[in-house]
Amino acid sequence: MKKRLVIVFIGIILVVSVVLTGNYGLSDSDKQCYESAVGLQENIDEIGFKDFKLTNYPVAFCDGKRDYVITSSGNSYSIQKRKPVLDTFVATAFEVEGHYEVIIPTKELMSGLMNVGKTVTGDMESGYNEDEQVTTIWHETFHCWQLSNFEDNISSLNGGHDFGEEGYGEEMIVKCCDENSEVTALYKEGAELLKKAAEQEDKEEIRNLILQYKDIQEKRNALLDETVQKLEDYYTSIEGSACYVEAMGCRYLDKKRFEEYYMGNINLYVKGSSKYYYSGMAQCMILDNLDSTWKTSYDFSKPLIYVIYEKLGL
Amino acid sequence: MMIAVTALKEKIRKKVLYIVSILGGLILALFGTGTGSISIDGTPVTDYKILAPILLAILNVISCVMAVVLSLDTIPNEYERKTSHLVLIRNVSQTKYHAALTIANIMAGLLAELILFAVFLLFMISQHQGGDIWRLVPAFFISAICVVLICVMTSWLSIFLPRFFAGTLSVIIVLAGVFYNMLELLNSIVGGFAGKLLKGILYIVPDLHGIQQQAGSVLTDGTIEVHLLLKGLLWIYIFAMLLGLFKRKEV
Repeated sequence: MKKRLVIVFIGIILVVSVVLTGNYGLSDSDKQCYESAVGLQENIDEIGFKDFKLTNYPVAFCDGKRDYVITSSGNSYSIQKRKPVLDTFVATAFEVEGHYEVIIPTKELMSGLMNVGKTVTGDMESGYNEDEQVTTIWHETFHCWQLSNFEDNISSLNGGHDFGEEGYGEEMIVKCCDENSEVTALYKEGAELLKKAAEQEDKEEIRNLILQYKDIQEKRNALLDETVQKLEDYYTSIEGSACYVEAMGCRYLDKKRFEEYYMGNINLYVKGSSKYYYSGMAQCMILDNLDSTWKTSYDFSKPLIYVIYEKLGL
Repeated sequence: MMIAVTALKEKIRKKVLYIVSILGGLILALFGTGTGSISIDGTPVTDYKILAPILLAILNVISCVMAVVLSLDTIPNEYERKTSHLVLIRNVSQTKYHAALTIANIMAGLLAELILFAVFLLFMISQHQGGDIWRLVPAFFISAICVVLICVMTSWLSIFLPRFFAGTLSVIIVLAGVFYNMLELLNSIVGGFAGKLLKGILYIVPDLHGIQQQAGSVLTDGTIEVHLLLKGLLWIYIFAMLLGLFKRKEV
């Protein structure tokens, strides 16, 4: 009898220990990511986008089973649990009950996927870390800000098309741009010029480089349908500026990674829409070199490159 | 205890333990010789902090499979050779008898793991990590949770399932446990029936990957999640209880 009691007691102790040490709700590492992102607000303010505040938008961390929605009020925040609003695994800005929210997979989930990807690509040393999660939060927050304040302008920028539907935009880019060798070659040539211009502080040099870029763009646009041009403008201006915010966040957190990853990829060419994230980021950096106050008036009604042309009187 | 020692001695006599351990050791040595046996995109992985957890994970998989091999036959053999009859007529309960045989399996499994850790020790020395050898002790005990768990589970399954099914099921559980993180990830992405099925599998499979990761963390100075180790111990407890509940008919 005594022996049985000891066995039952051991079982109870084990169950209680497992329950007590378990992590229920949003993990500490995700809370830490959110706090780090909020802590970056002062640095992001320095970039100069008006009223662009992370705490204005709820951030929902999705673990696949639940969304943990963080809402800020003053210096504190609260976490609410709900059923996931998206049935896909994606970091995005999404409209929920009339307002935009950042939806992002939990760091654990994101690490799992990213690390599988990195293992496949051979990038074993760099696991998905907190800084990446923080900058992704800022990227999506920027989309929330764009959509909350400039939705109509964004809609006119992309000519009223719904490019996001069923991967339609992505397919169109691959088919019309990436599979056309002439268009691709001109893109690469243009990306090199943007890279040089983004790294250049001398305004006259920038003007020369952008003049060459404009010439290339005109040749390239002559080969593309107007809808595709609109799609490229959309990706470059909307995603490019969000990528710029993400890169600036990274510059404050990890300068080495900023140099290697963002500046290293500034002239990136890959099939699909990812390349426009970097060319758009390059255009934002060029604008910074021309007039750092451009962000106070830019309203996404026209492509970033047109703003550059205007600043240079081209 | 006498039964356990006798069963262990038999395993040692039969040399299964050595053959399996040496084979496992050879596989481990092959990967850890520093000649780039593990390579990604043609580039050899040579950094100790990356290589050590990978090798330890390989060691863990080999240990778990060895635990299955070493535990699968012990109980069925006793009944087939009627040795069980000689023991059970001496007023030894079946529960105690099975427990003693399971202890023999555990001891054999741990001995095999010890041999593999000796190979790992040589790898550490070859990597000039002699100062961190003490870390092998906690890593051994953490990995031992997996080995004990698999030994108890396989012993339990071998009581009531035919050898082939018990072995296959044990290996499937080992593989699912080793790739537990991948299954969790899939479960987060996949919906519908497949999602529910995966969720069910995750409930009935021990997280061997999680336990193994903690052993890797000890080696590379990372943080340990005690929760995962306690869950491993709880699984051992559950299988031990099931081992006590199931009886086998004497032929």
